[in-house]
Amino acid sequence: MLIIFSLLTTVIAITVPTPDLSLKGILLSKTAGQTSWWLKRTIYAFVSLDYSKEDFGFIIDNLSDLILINPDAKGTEVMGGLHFFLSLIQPLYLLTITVTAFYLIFISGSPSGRAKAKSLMGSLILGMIIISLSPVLLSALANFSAITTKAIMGQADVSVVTDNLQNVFGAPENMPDYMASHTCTLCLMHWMATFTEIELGYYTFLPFMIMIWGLGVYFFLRFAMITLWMMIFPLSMLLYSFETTKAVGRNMLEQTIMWIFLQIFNAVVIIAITLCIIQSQPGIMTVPGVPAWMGELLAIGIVGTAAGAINIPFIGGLAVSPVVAARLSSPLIEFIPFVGCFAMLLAPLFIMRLFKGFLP
Amino acid sequence: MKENRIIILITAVALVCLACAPFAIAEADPLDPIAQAAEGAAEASAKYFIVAIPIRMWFQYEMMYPWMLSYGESFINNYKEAILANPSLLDSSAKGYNPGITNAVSYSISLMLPFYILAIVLTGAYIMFISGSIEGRVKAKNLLKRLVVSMIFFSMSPLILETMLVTSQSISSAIINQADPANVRMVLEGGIWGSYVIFCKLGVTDLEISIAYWTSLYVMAWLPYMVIGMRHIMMCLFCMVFPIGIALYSFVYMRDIGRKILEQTIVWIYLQAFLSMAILVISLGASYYYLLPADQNPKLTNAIMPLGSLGESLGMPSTGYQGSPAYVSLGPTSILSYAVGSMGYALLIAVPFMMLRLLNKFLP
Amino acid sequence: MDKHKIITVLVIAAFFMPIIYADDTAGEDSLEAKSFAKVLGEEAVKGISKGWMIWMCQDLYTFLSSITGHLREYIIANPPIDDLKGVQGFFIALMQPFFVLGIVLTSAYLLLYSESPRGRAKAKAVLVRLVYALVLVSLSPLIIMLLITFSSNLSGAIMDYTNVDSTSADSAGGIIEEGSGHMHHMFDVLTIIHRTGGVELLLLWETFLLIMNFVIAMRYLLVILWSIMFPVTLLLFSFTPTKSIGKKFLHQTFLWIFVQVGWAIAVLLIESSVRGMDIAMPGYPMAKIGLACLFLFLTTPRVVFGLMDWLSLGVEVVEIVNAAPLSMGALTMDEMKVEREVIVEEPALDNL
Repeated sequence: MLIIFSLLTTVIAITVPTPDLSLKGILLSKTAGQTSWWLKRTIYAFVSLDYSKEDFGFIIDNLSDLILINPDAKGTEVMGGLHFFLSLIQPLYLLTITVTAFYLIFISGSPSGRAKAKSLMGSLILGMIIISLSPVLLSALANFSAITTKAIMGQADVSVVTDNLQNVFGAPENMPDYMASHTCTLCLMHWMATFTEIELGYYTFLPFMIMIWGLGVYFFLRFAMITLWMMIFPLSMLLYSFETTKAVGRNMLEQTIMWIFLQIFNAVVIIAITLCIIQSQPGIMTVPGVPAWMGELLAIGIVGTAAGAINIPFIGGLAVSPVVAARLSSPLIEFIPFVGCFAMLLAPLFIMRLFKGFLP
Repeated sequence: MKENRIIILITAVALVCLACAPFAIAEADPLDPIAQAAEGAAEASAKYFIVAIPIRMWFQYEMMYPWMLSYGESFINNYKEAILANPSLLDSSAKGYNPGITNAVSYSISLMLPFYILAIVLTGAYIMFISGSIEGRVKAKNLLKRLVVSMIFFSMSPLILETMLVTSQSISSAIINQADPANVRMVLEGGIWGSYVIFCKLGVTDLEISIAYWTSLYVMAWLPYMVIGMRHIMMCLFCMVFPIGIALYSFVYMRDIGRKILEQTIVWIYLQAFLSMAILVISLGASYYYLLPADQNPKLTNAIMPLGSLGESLGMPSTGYQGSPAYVSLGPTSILSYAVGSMGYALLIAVPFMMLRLLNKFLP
Repeated sequence: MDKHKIITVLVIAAFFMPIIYADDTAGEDSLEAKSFAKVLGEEAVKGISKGWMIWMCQDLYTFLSSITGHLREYIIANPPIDDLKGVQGFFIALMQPFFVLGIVLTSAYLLLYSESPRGRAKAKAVLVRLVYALVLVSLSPLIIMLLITFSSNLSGAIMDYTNVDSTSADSAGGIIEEGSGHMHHMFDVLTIIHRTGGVELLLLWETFLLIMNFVIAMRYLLVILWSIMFPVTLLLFSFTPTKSIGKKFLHQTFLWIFVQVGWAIAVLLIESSVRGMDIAMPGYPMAKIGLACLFLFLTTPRVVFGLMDWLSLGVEVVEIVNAAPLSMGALTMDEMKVEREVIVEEPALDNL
């Protein structure tokens, strides 16, 4: 697509002003030379947008599934690690129980010592039972969280969010028109920056990169962290049983529970965004990309540049496709989905903070 | 002669640039595509190759290389003297004799002494003349004891400080002498010269990608001295307020502040021992080089051409980091030596700050 | 005079040579009318420069990403204990006079000053603790050897469950290589388009890989530090006034020795979760998985030891993404701070 587009516009730029179509004529054509200026920036804008929006379509299409996935606590991947840690921790438990029992039965210490040993015994036995049941327990936790999330997500139609995200960012795989996906609302900011000064373009493709790659990284990261916490669950329980290490163990158990229940917060964020979008009036929280009068000038400028008659630097390269010209005249960047993306990534951070220290 | 070489280099650059001028001044025939292409090529090569690359190479090899030999190697050559240097308060024949601190300490003492005397007199008067409750008299007696004891320590502050400085120096000296100088040199050189090699390699084509490594050169060269300098400044500061710290430590309500001052004084003085320990660790860290077998330890030279570096292409073999002549084959750096060398420098700032954070609230 | 002045003048003159390229400084990247042929000539030469840049960065990439092929050796690495014994002996010899002095003084107090029973009981306890401490300190080389060997063996055992020795795409090394390789590929393409187009991506993968290499080297050095300080740690831990410091030192010793177990768990985690994700949602983009695995490798030890919550992880993620060259240093510094929560302040002063 890109190559065809570039060739087409180069040919147009050469042939329209310069009737001499011989090789020499083309090589000497000044407009052709000028074309390279905007061709470079166009290619850069397309390629950087392509890279930053890689696989965005996959994420958009599977957003609800991605929020819902949990590692299978009974599957071989988690069980492998879990077995390893169980094999390390269970003997430790047995040893500690034996020693405590020995102390209780044979060594008559002070009443406070015996009381402590008794409570330790109780927590050890409880811990041992829990870790022996850990696959079932963790699987139940994960399922509970998934069911709650599903129920919450069922409150509103997620496709509202995904459609809006599509409009804001533009997923190349999903849009019928390749050009359309790269000239949607937010991309225009990138285009304008690139044509103003290419160095600015390095910074305007970062929002795409951070949001889209951030989402992709986040979903996998959550999956991996839950896998981790499931694997070291026996260790967390062991550390929670002893007074000296109780703080560490508590932190670890809290993290286990919070990471699993994070999907509920994600679902709540999605629902909040959906309701915001549905209930808001059209045009609220939108920003005009380019004012209408400027859009018309742009359209003139595009044609003019191709004819070599006018030089308007910062729009020099946009395609002469009428679709684009129409888009240029009144685009609106909708901020709610844009901010919603951020919220997907950041809100859970703050909610985690609120729930710190909830275990006894 | 080095200067001659530089002059020849610059003259050559200037001549080449002048040679390109005809292409531009007599602008290429607009009706000849080949001449136009040549003009474009000449302009671009003038901008990117003919002017930029010699200037960058000049910067890397003629400016930074002597800098590396003097500043870069400075700490490596002088680490012992730098770390072991201590001001001396009382011994006027010592190298670091600093009468300024001694005067400041004496001034602090003279500032607080009247308060002490007043406190002792008042407490004594209370015990002798004002018969309060038994509890009050017991409190006053304890206070008097504590005041007298602390006044003794207070008056001896210069001596106490000097003792601490001397013991710190002797402990540090004992620790640092355990370190093998050859290993310390090998590790630290691996770090800073490794960074230099990467800087040279990347910087020839484009300076922007090599800025990180260039910055790290300065950081590595100057950071140890900055840490040592900071220690000296903080030490002087706390030496000057040490008597005040002792005085405050003995009064109940200001005990916390006094404790903090005393703790900080002790920590900053004995930081020297931790810096020496860092050097010892660096020398022991040379065993990191043997983590991977030599053939699996990837190496990087400043080779910028298929045949190796400029020097190797011209037939001049590499002679290690301080290879001769400069803009030629800088010795290879390996990932292990670069990593452990950089972290050796990082250790020199990490260890003091780690200890500063860990060593608090150790006085009763 | 001056050779230096002459040199300076010549350098400045050479720098301003391009001004000779008169009027139609249709220099690079301007909009002035240039013929197509001229542009082709320019781009050809610029292409050489860009290609050179890519080639140099490829060398750097091979250099830095070599770690992914040797993860096991790097993770299991521990300093050779024989080297440390000599230095530990030095510190033990430094401590011994203190112990002897303490034992002598306490015994003298017990034998010669018979004060209240409470005082004698205290002195007895102190004596017992001194003797324990002396025994422990003399055994400290052995204890350290035990800890280090245990940690190394545990990491090896964990990594035996993984594919870490192979370089295939489903091993941890392969996954990390895929992540950084994809970013390197993006850098290559963007650089071909414009010289400085890919610099941020270069900084991104370069920072990650450098931090991976540096953190492993840093741990090595810190294990040496805490091992040689172990006698001092035990001494501080044995006496009540310095017990809090001794505890902190001991804590740091254990943490830094067992970080390698955290990394081994990270390797296991990376492989398990990638396999799991492949089953739960096939087709998940590998590039993003690779990037996430780079974070995971660096942060798993801190997470495993219960030291970090997601807010810190988030902050580190933001720092890494905004990786300016100098934040590399800041991040390295931060990596070294293996710390617990703030210790609660003791209540105020004792009264008279």
